[in-house]
Amino acid sequence: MPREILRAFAFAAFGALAGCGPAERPESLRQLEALAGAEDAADAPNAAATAWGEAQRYLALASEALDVGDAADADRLASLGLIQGKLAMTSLREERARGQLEAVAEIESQRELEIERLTSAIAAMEQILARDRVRRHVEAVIDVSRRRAAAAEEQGAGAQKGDARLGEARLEVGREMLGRSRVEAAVLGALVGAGAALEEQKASADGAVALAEQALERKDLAVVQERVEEVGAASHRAFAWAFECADAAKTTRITETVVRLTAAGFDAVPDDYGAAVSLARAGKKGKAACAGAERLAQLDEALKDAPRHAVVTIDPRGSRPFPSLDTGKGRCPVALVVPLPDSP
Amino acid sequence: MRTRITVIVVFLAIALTALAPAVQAGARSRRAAAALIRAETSLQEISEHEHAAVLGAELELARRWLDDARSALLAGRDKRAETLASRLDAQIALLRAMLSAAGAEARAEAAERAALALVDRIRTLEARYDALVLEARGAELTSAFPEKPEAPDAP
Repeated sequence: MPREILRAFAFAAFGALAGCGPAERPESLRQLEALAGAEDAADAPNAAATAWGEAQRYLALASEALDVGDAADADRLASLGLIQGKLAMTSLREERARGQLEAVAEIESQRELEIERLTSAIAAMEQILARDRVRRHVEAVIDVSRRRAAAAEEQGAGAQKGDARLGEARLEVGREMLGRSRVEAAVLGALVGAGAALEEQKASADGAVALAEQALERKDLAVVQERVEEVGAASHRAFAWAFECADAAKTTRITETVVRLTAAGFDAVPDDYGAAVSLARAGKKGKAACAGAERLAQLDEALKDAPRHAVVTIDPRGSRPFPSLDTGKGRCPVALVVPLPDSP
Repeated sequence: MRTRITVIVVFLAIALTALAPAVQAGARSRRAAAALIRAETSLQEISEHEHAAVLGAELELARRWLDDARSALLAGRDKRAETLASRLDAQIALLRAMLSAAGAEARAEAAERAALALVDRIRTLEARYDALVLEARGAELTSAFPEKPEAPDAP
């Protein structure tokens, strides 16, 4: 019995000694101290000075409470300080996110600018390439036309000895083709001239509109009208089309990919001219043949002069290298009326 | 007469002194109850926020304190309830700050994704530009071409 009493006394004494030691450090205080010593803590006062100051104050108070052995109060104060410390660190995170957002927005605007520049450069390059493609096509067409004309004339000269009428007909075809190639060459000259002017000035499509307006101011439209009326009834459609295109040039912005060209009245000539030639060549008498001969004379006269103005049209679809009067009406939103060179 | 008045005054003074703690306790109880109602509403609103998922343990802690405070109030431990309500107020401010930061971070991430998409667009345009340059070399037209713009730095 005395031994049990002695053991109980020993336990009590040890317990009392343990209770008299320093109070245990609360978990909240440890967390608060860790937060205060964190790597980002140096920046926290800049983001949330008040909250960070409160956290520091609570840390000091909790340490004081612990020094006097009040662990419960130290825990309470450290918990409050921990909330304030987390609040400050969260504000720091938010501030950094906002800074990042601003930086990214700056980069984004720079990239949008680069995209705009690239798009503009690509559009200019596509325009130059398209113009070059048309130029090459026109040159090829003219080359073929010239070769055909030369061949027809040669054939006509050869056949003249045997069959005078056939030889005459082939000579006519040869002359027609030569006339056609002259017009095409003139139109090409106009196109190249207009294109060169555009390139030299580094003008965009707006520049082409300005050129059209300048041409219109020089009364080119009236001259086109005069020439078109000379080639006969078939030219009415040509005039309407040419007028429409020239009129559109005053208001419509050019968005071309392919430049197309024709001479005013040029496409209208061959059919009408061909019909008259056929009648005259057939050697038939009568009213129709006389009318045909008369018409032939008129058309010859018209072709002799050759159109002095070309309507260069710009078609965003670019489906055909040469516009047709029949199908070209309403398909060509913009036209340039340019003077042709005097000698092709 | 004077003696009687003195006795009444002394009696009233003793009565008021005795009642003061009870009056104070009632006021504290009312304040704590009002604070808890406000905290409950705020927590409900916060937990329905689109970025509430980022709150995690902090939101749970706030809910636990709300429950503790409510229990303390019901048990008549008004001072404890008031202490918890005050701590809950600070915790709710922290939760709101966390939501705000999460929103800012989400916006920054979205902006970065958009900036990266622009890089893709630039690369596509550069490829188109290079293809045109090749075509132009074939046609001997390079002299008339505009210069290629500089590519921006990656973020």
